[in-house]
Amino acid sequence: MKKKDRTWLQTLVALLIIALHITPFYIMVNMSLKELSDRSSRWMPALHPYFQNYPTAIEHGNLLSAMWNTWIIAFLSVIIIVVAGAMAAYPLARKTSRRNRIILTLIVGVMMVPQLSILVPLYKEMVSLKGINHLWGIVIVSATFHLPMAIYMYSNFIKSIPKDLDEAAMIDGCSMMQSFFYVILPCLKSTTVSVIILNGVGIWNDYQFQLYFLQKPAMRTITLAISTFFTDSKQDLGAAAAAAFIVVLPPVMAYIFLQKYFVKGAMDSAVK
Amino acid sequence: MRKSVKSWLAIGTAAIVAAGLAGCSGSSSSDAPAAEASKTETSAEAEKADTAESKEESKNLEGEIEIVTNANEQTYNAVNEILEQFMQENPGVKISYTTQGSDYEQLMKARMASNDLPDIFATHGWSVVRYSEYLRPLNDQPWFSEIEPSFLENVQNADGQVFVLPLNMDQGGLLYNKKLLTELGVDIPKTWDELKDICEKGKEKGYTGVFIAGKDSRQPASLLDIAAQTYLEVRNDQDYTSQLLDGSFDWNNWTPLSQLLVDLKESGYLNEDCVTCDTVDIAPRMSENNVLFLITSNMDLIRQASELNPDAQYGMAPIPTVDESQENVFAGGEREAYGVWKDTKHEELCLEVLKYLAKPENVKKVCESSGKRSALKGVDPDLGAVAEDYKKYADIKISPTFDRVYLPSGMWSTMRTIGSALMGGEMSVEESVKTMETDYNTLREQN
Repeated sequence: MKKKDRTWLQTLVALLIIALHITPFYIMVNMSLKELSDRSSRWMPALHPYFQNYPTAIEHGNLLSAMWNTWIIAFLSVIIIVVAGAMAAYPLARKTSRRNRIILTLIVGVMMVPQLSILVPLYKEMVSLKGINHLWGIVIVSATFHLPMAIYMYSNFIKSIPKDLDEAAMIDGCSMMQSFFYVILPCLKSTTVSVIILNGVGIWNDYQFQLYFLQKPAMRTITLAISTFFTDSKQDLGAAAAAAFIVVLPPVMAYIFLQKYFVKGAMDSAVK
Repeated sequence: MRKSVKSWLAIGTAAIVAAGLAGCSGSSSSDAPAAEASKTETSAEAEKADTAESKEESKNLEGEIEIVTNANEQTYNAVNEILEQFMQENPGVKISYTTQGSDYEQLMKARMASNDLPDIFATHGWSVVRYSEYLRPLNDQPWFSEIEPSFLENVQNADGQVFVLPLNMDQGGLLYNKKLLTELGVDIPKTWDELKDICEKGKEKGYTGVFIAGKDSRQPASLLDIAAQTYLEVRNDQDYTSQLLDGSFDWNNWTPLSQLLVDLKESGYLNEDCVTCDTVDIAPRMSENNVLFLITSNMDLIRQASELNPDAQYGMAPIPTVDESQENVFAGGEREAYGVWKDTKHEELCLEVLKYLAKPENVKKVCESSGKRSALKGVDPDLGAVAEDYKKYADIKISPTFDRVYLPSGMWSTMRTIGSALMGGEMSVEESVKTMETDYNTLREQN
């Protein structure tokens, strides 16, 4: 009986947690089905669903092009972060000299710099490089800002891999480069998954940098496209909610189907 | 080993650079589908053959320019149409016209700091104070003499230089419900005291005296800004304006303004949801014929309310005065106004674009879509219900927007803070005056 009670309580708590998580989605979907002139509460279910918000979101917000831009930016940035991050972390982790410790501390220190505080000089620099309104400009900026965390994570994990592995590889005739690519890198799979998730989501959701570095409508990313529904004179919450619903679908689907890999990646990196 | 670690570090750095370059090459392929999505950037190549004749007539204009604005949807669409027409007539010209909405100011600040401004940009009321050092003076332009004389001082600096082509103007004042005022048997209030008396009468009948959509803190700030015209700016007895400019202003004189907002709130003249009401609800609420007054610079609300309910007839009147002897004024300022960046590489083209925008039929189009008065002479836009009032008060002075002229840059956000706080009861009148004084002194030093 006692055990039954506990199960019942657990189910209740679980249901409450689920309800808490689903609430924002409920409001988003609900609002996407309401007309702009519908002034009922946001909690009130849309009794007469209004689907016109979806075509408006796709056409007015240029959503497909925005999704494509965001995907390209996130993909290229994450590749740079993973490759450069792992390669930079390897020597820093393997050779723990005083100088390397200073370098690592500096890299970690960079993480503390608020992004917006260096916006103007950064913007100036990108103007002189002609990187404004080009995808490569924002890719470089996003990758650079997310690199320190990747280097920090990688160097910590590489430290936990026994040095004997490198030495064994070298005895077998590997160069340092080869031992990194053939021996160390495969050991970093779980860390890489964490790095991809953390940085990929960060870049996918970025707003500030993309606002400044991608000003042309054709270059807009998802966050910028959704923000176009909110202007000083008009706040089209319905279309914005519809747009948000469309753009969260792919990541949510990916998460549902690839859940076990994500969880495994996060768990493995925690254990290591 | 030590040497190899060094070389590893070097390789790591090189990889970052190389990966960056890889990003460059990746972008060129992704540009293609993205570029297709832009409507405004479509070059007028296709029209080349059709307009060959007109090309010969007009100057052979060529080049690619960027124009940015923070215009609302209606104004943006009207200007966009005009610019597309310009591109059709000048096939060698490519214009990228974009609106950045509510992020515009932030973006322009970063671009000013980097001296990388668009060729032409909207100045949203700040052509003189904030942007003039980046703009080319436009007094030599053919349309200069067409600017409405009553409006000219809004866009002129101390030397008489004008930096923008103003298309339409903001006119802030009092909106009143014609039907309800007749029902109550009262005239349009001339003074703030009369306004409060009418609110009291309306309150007895269950009407909202003054409507504020305070969820957006700009609304109470705008009320203070408009009321400051008669409380501080246009005073016969006091010279507050020069005191504000030279820094000797006694901030206790701000007390009546904060007190006005608090009085309206505490007497129950404001709508009950004045703190939480959203701006999108203003026109629908006006259309319910339950609101007596609004103090606003968005005269288009009159049209919007009558569209929702033809019975909701509102009129526009000047700002109430402090006493009978005071002169009536409207608060005014530039709305959609475009300036040319002084360092643009396409100066001739930019000036041609402005000349084209200044054509009466184009100004008319912008005014009609925005529901605002023209800032140029000889344009007679059809502004619907409000047109009559514009004519009736044509001779009334349009006094420049208070905060833009007399307060240091940055005070608008202080006004937003105190406006919301006063209405929400989070700040006393004394505290609000103190806040204004402190921020005024700090910002004056910074500017």
